Amino acid sequence: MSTHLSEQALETLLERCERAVATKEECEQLASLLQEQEREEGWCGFREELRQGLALEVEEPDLAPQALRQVAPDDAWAPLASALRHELPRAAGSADLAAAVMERLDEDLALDAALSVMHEGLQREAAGVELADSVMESLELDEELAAAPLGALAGALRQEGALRQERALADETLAAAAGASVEAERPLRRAFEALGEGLAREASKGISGADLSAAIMGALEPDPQAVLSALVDDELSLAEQRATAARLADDRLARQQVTAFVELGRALRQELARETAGEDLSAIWSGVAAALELEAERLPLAQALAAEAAEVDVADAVMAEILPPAERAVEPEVELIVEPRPVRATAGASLFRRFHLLPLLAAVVALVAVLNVLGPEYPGVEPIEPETVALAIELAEVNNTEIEDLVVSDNAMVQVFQLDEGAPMIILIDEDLEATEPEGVTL
Amino acid sequence: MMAAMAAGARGGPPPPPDQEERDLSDTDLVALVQGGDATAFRGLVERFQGRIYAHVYGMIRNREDARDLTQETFVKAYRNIAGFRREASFNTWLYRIASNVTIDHIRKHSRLKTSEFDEGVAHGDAGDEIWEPDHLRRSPSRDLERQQLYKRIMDAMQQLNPQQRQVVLLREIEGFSYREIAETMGIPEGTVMSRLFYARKRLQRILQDLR
Repeated sequence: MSTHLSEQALETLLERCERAVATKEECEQLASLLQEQEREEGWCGFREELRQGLALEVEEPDLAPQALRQVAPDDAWAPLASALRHELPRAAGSADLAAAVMERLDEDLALDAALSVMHEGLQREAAGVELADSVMESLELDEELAAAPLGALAGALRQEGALRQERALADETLAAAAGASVEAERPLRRAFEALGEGLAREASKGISGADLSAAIMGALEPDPQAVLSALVDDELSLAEQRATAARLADDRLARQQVTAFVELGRALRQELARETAGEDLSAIWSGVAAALELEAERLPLAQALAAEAAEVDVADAVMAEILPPAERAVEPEVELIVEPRPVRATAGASLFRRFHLLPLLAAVVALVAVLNVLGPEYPGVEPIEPETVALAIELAEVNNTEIEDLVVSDNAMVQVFQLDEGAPMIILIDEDLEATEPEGVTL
Repeated sequence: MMAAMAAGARGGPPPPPDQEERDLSDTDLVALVQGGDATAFRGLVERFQGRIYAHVYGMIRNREDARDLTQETFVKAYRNIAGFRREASFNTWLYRIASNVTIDHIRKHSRLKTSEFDEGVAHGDAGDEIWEPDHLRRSPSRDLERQQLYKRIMDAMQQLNPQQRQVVLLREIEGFSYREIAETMGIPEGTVMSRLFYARKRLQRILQDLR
């Protein structure tokens, strides 16, 4: 095979490759030329010639999109390998990433084997180099990149290689890759550039102990077991499902792996549900509203809730979250402004369920007697049922009790009433409002 | 909506606000909020708070911080909702905010040791032995062992890097498709696939070690 082409012949060959009409022999001729040129003149000389032949802008010397078009329908790998061979070293900058891979690419490898070789080579080269986030982030520059030919090519090759349906890889696969490359040259270029930048940057760090290639190859060529993971997630194409089903039928470990993936998800759902069960998130909204200073909405909301409070037991708790402190209905302060108000008998002993300041309530017993006697003479005042004082109440000396501090919980109701001037003062404190309808003085 | 609430409170019994909100789609509520009805945002908060909380909790496993971050998520969502395009999914948009808020929190606090993106390390696990739940299903003692393994899975989750944890939670808890996960995390679907796989393999390895 001659490697000495006239300029005209080279242009013709390049043009045919560019138009994807080159024959297998022509592609091989070009690949051979590339190799020889590399040996004799190095990359730069040939690349300049190639650029001229392809009429590329000097500022955009990327070979890959054009090289991908060299792919002949019945022999994909050799020209593709040539393209990769040229692009990877350049993309990797000064790193000698590609050599280990490329030294074997001249062999007549089946496509899947070639990918495997590339993977192995990358792994070998990657030893001691940390790729990590930066490269992956570069490769994931934007969503457009996902549709780039690199991804399309890798996906198609992977599928074809895995299914290994004889020579079926040719037309459809490579036409898709070539078509994608035509449509998205810039993303492809960006992918290579990003890869190269990332590799060069990371390689220069010389950090040892990490595995460079997995992140790259995870995108280019996922582990075969990843298909099992995707199967669990119902994310495989019909063809992939069929292929995987066939594999599962013969592969006990694969079946176990699928079961394990399913079990992991089940365990996670169960345990997360268990750990978050009963979590009280009622304060989330009030916190959000407060953070956003939704003043205009806060007051009407409070009003609306207040209107519903008669029917909703949690009103005070909600109001305490929503209203500013000054507006809170219940404050742990006692202001002994007494205003005689009719008091309706409360539901049994509930009103007296919890009493504090028992000494202060010494007068209650006496008052009960007064109420029982005078009840009919005080319209609207209903006698407190005797059983409401069934709790033990200690007596204190009348008119000799001072309140220095009264501390109650936020959901407590404090009622202070005096039936007549000079009559004993009664302070009722109920910390459980669920059955009460306060009509006394609430402080 | 708030006007309806207030009016309802004054007059006869109105339809409960939450019932109204239940009848509205996410898009409807977003439209109301974008139209100036800030109160409609409450409906969105109440609709999503449980799920967002569970996601955040799964990421950091701290109740108090999870509540704070859930709240922060909604605050940020409200402040940015004007720019939300309604043809997009509010669901994934909200989860994206939650994820960003949570990962920021993890980075700031370094409470969880954020190893470097270690899919490569996980990749090395790919060919290792398989955690075989089948072996745990045949007897009471194995059931017990299985339950113990279940309990350890939350510990194991915390040993994943945040990105892996995130992708696992979005898939296993939220049931997101790869496309939705890709949209939420801003990565290609192929990366979702590989990241999820490596995360699962690493979980297996960790659970093996915890046995």
